Amino acid sequence: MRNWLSAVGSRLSGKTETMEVPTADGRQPTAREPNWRLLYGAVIIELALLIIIFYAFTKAFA
Amino acid sequence: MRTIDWVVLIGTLAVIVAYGTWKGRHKKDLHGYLLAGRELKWPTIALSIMATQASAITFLSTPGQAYTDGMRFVQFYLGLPIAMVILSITAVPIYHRLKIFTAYEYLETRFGVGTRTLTSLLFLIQRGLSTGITLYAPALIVSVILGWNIHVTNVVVGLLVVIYTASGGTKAVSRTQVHQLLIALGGMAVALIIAIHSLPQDVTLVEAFRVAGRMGRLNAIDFRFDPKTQYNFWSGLIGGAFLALSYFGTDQSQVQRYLTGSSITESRLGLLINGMVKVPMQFFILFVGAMVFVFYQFVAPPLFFNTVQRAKVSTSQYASEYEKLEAQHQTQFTEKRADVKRLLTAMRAHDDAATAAATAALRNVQERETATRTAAASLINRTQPGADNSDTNYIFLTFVIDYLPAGVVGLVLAAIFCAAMSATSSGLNSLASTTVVDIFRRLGKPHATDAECVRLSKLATIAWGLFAIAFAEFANRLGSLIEAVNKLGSLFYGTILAIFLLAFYTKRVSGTAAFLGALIGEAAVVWCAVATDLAWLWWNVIGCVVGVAAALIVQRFVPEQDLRVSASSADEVFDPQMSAD
Repeated sequence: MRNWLSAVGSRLSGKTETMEVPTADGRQPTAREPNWRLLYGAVIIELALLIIIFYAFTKAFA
Repeated sequence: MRTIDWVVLIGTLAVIVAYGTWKGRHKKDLHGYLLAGRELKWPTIALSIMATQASAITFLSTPGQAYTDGMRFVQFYLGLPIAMVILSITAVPIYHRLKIFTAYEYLETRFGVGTRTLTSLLFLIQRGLSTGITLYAPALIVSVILGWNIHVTNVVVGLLVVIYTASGGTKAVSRTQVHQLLIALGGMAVALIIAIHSLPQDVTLVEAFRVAGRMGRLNAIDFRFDPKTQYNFWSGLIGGAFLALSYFGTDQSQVQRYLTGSSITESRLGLLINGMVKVPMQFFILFVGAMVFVFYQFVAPPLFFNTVQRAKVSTSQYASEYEKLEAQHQTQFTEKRADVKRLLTAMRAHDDAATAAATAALRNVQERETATRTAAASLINRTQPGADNSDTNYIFLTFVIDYLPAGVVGLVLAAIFCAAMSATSSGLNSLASTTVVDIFRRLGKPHATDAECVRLSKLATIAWGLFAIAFAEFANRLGSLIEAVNKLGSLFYGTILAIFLLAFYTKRVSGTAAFLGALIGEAAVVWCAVATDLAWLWWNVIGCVVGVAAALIVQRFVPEQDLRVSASSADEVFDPQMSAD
């Protein structure tokens, strides 16, 4: 769990970009990018969820 | 205000100014002064972007907006997350790759110096005036509610901002904004808790929601399409997306925030976190206003929240008429409170018929109360023609001053001034950047040294600060201030966005065509504002669509050799090489 949270945190923080990933043969470390499609999707899905929640909120108390 | 409130207020502001000045020291070159050395990480960028947009107006006017009009204003922000995604994909890699100081520099590489200068000037006009309103808003409201001198408040707050913005530059602005936003949100959270806690003991939170909902204050989403309605789902999603694209993608006060990112990744994450947090944040602030509204269903509110206008009408020839309205308002409040209690009893008993009857009665008395408030506003207008007859901006602070405990009042006031300072500092910082980089260094002295430019940036910050203070002295009669700022922006944003879209996505549009297209787009927006009653969020769409279409048509008549396609044009927008630093 802790490892998973740490992985998500570093992925979101962008530290992954400068994170050194050792290669099998010990050559120059490579850099990793966050999964942008996943992040863009998360933003749009969150918006859709908010709209649904706000609509339900409006209807529930109207 | 009590001593403890003063201690909290002055202490908070002093710490912020000292912190900003200290954080921004050692910035000798232009890169360090205007872009914080491009070393900021996404949490700072995200909070800085949010703090730039969330001025004192957001924290004062938005709860009042929920009180008078319900929560539908939240729809205004629905297009923002979409805009954040689009900008992360398109604008951020281009700006980073070109290593520019301002968004307008990019336009020269595509359309030439004329278009760059036009957009820079449009920005300077619009942002210069908006920064004045940003400064004026809290000064006006505090002067009315607490009786402070508006001129002194304007000058003191304005000078405090100028001190750390001019001395520390962008780094000081961004670092202080993190703390300012957290203080502002903390103050609002405390106000919300106390508003809910101040409701009668027997009223639960869900019951408070139901009262607010049945009186039309929890109307967050409205799917009906009406181009004349300011806030509905469609205007928010479409018009709001255009406005956000323009504001975050082309307004230097925002672009400068994410240009400080140490990489494309940091800048993108800053924008995307803003896209995820902004809508819930605005919902929260509006919700504070809805709860203040519920609070005033059990405690009598004043007929008109602006005490200065109230005092004026009470000593005028209309005094007896106003007194009658106050008596009428008091009777309506008593009737309304009884109806609210009847509604709560009916809901607790799950009696649908009685609930419907109580709701109808409540809405009826609410309508009559609104009519009484409108009559009071028109009386105030007759007493002093042209006076501010909207009291939306005064509702929240009246509640804070009258009902919040000692210390918390100081905290909320500190929160409001922090928000004012954060938005003003971004405004001044970006105005100085554009003045120096796009006007002075480009048109005046191209070979100016870094030291000269830094010195001039500091002077420009001070000069724009003085301009904002001077404009703040005249920025009255604007109605709801949050609307005023966004309306003013919407006059220009569509056109500016059109220029940037042409630059990003078209290969064969020349600078001349883009320039003329922008002028035609701007003329269309001005016509909409002056001659139609189209809701102002749509001005952004009109300016952008007309601007782009006009440029494409004009291009047909421009000679081929006029084309100027640069390395940063459409082909390279999605170049995979550009997605990495």
